[in-house]
Amino acid sequence: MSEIVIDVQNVVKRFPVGDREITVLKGITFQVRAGEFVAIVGQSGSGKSTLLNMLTGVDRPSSGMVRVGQQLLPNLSENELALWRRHEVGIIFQFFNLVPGLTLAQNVRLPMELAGKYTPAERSQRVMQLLEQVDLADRADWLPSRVSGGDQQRAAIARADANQPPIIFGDEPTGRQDPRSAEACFALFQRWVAAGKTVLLVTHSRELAARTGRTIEIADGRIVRDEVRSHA
Amino acid sequence: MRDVFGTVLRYKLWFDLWGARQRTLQAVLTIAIGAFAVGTILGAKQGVTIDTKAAWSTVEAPSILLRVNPPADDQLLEALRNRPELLKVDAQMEQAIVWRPSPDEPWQPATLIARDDYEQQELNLLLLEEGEWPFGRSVAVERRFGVEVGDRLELQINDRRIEVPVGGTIYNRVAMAASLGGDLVVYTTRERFSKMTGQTGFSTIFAAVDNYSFETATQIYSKLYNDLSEQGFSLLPAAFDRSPVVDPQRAWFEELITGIGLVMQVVSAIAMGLSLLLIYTTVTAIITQQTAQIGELKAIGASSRQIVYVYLCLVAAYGLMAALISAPLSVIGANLLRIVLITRLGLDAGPPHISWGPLAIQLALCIFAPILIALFPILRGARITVREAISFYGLSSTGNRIDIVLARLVWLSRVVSMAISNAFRNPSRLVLTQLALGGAGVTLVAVLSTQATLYYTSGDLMHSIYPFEVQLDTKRPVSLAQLSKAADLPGVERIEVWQTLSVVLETADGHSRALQLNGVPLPSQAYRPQLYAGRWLQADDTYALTLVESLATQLNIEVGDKVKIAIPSRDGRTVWASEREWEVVGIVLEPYLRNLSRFGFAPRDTLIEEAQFGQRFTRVQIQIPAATGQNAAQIASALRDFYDRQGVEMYTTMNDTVAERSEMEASNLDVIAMLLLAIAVIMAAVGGVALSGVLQISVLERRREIGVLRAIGATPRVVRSLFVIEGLILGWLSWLVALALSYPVGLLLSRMLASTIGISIVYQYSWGGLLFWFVLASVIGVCASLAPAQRAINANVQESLAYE
Repeated sequence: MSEIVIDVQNVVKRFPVGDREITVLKGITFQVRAGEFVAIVGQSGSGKSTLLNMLTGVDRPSSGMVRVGQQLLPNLSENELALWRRHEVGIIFQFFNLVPGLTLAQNVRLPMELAGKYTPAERSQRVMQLLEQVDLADRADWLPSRVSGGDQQRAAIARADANQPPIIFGDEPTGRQDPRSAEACFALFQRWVAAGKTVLLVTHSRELAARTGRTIEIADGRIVRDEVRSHA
Repeated sequence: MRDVFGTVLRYKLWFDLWGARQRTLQAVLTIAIGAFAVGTILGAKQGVTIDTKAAWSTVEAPSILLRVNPPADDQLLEALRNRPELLKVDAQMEQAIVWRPSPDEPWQPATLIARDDYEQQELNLLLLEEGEWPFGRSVAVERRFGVEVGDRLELQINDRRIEVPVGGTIYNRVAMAASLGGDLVVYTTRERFSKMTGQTGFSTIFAAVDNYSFETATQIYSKLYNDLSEQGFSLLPAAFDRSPVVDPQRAWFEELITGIGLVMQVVSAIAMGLSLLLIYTTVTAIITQQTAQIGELKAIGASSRQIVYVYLCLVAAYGLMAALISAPLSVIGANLLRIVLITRLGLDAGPPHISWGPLAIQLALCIFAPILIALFPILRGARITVREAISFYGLSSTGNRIDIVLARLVWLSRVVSMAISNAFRNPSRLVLTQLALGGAGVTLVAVLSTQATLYYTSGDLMHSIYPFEVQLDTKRPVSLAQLSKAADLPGVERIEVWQTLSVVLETADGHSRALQLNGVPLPSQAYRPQLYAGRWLQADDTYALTLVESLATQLNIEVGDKVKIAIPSRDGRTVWASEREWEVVGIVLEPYLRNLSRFGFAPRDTLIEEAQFGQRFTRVQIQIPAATGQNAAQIASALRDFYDRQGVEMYTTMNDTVAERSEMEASNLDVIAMLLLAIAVIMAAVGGVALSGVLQISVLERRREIGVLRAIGATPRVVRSLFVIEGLILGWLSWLVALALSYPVGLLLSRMLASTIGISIVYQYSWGGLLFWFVLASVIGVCASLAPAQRAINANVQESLAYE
């Protein structure tokens, strides 16, 4: 049995709205082991993106515990979280969030430079490998504003693996892709899992979720289903 | 630095600079305009100081100036030169004359001067500007009076009319320049002067003492006074302020320069403050706009330090570009402003030069100030959490109070309602915008109020204090009956006769000053005091004084103080005719520059009794019904002729009438008024740039919103209206800020200026200035919003919607 790399215990998240508070996550508890391929599904407003933000340290729970890798995230400062993200996790944002002034290649290279990882030559080599994996090698020097949303999303996928993190999170990572590209990306996620990485995706696509190893369904801030499959 | 230049973030830096050229230009201009204003003003101020010092340092100014009667001969001059306590002695022949360039032109006052040898001057050195020194019949004239070498002048001297050729122009740094309302000076040879005037001696003597101090020079003067009085000479002080002792280091224009310097300093401080404010606003807006990118960088592992470095490098690049643009421009600007001011003073501007101190301040303002100022918004931006920066999940804002109120105003057009909401959307930025634009408005109205105060003080106030239009001073005391004869002349309504005396005032703590004491008949019809403190003189007053405010302030004299007044004796046997205590009962405001405003008022009868003059007087004030400047001048001229025929010699000045004095004062203050106006224009420009910047950033921030508006059918006209109304609202708000603050700021500025240049003022708030700012703020609001509005209209809808 592989080790537990994501441990979420009784996480509650509340947001103030005027004089009131709305509870978006109502005591979420689950664990993910190394090498798992997990999909979190749910309807809009169910709290799945909020949960992803708790796991990536983008946001903090109102109560409860979140441990990813060896780190208890609520205990880390913003700066410590940034340093932790450099090495331990890769994130694919729903809105890609590429730096507009950098080319696709530079966007992929940036995490390596920020982390001080690899030699310059290795970085260049790795950038091209990653872009080839997402079929963007020919547009490596293009600015994000010149390519389609799907291309930007694939560049964001390549960037997530720049520092070879053991865990990768994705928020609707294939939502902007055409079927062929989406399939290619899914195949890449599978390869990452095969190589021992843990991949956790947030998606509203039940079809995509069904192809992962485990589906956690959230409704009204609670886990209503946690299904593990053996085929992934 | 490695965090930026050692990584691909350097490309982001380049993209932020070059990819967003318009924003870069905006930021660079914002920094450059403030730095340019500061560099220009401080550079000009230093340049003016250098030039005036250079001009005065070679004047060889004397420390004792005397008018002697009868004029001194060579023997007396030689005797003075041999006195060990006098370092140098020089003299000139002087006579008041009138001149005209041609028979069609009116006569104007002038001074005819002759030196013994123009090549061997010792003090108050004259410089030959063009042509030749006076020789034979050929005269030289003071430069810049519109008289050129080769012209001919008609002079009237003692009823004789003489036509003389002009062979040279002279630069006399001691004479008041034409631009400041000075009279023409005509220079001739000693021989020619004697022929034309019949006078062979030197009426004015200059002397320099070693190691000047007021006390030493006064002691030497007293000794000279006694000795010369014993030899039968009567002595009058010849200095500008009728004081016989003057500081040779202190130029006659010193107070004016100090006043100009003060205005410049205040304005450069305001410009610097506004500039820093603009930088802060701009950088804050850039950080706000890039919040999402900060989040993205953090999400992929950038530390706060790395993010801080990225934006500090961006700001440093803006500053460097601003320095490159503004430094050469401000060097040119400072030199131009220096030349304008120096020329206005009638002096020669030195060669173009770079004032390194102001330039260093400017460069620091360009490079370091933006970094320091930007640290606040950058650190705040770097502290932002990833969720705050990039997460769009959660709950939308419930709207601020203004939005809630606006939503209830169903009758309000949605465009107007949105514009109002936008204007108030970001309170901290609204405050900053108003600090810049409102600050510009406050400064502009305050500056115009100061200008109005100066003009009122030298104009209306002077007319109200001196209701008798003409004032003539006799060279020697004359009987009341003789002076009163002019009352029968046509156009003369009433005459009041005063006694004016040069006296020495000594305070209880031992400070002394020479001053002119005006003995006025009580009650006086010719003087309506503008009281500052205490009371005016009453009919039963005897040893009571009122002093002008600037003198009282200088000597720290208050109402109720006792001061000693020493009146020089006229018989030559003793130094003082009277030395006794007088009580200061009042302090009055006088609209004169400090140079001319060392005077006080005393009961005439007591004064002539103490002076032991008998019933003889030296000043006549003449009331003219409904006098205009021109007919007053004509009547003054007729009065001069009348007294001349009576054998009463009068001093010739340009300022016989109140209108002329008022004009001269106004012209003295013109340099400052002009400077104030220039500042007002700069402030309006800075305000315009500030507003334009804020609106440009507003477009950038709301690009997505604009895209949505246009996608649902908003026409370009609607989008344009949105921005123009927002601009107008911000402009009008700045008017309200000016309305609230310009009065006290203007009062403060006027008082500081008045105290520096040594005048008393009656503050005048410029309502016209406030109205002007309303119009200007509206124009700025519309103009500054047009470009951003056009930018919003031109943006592609799809791009706007996709904009991050």
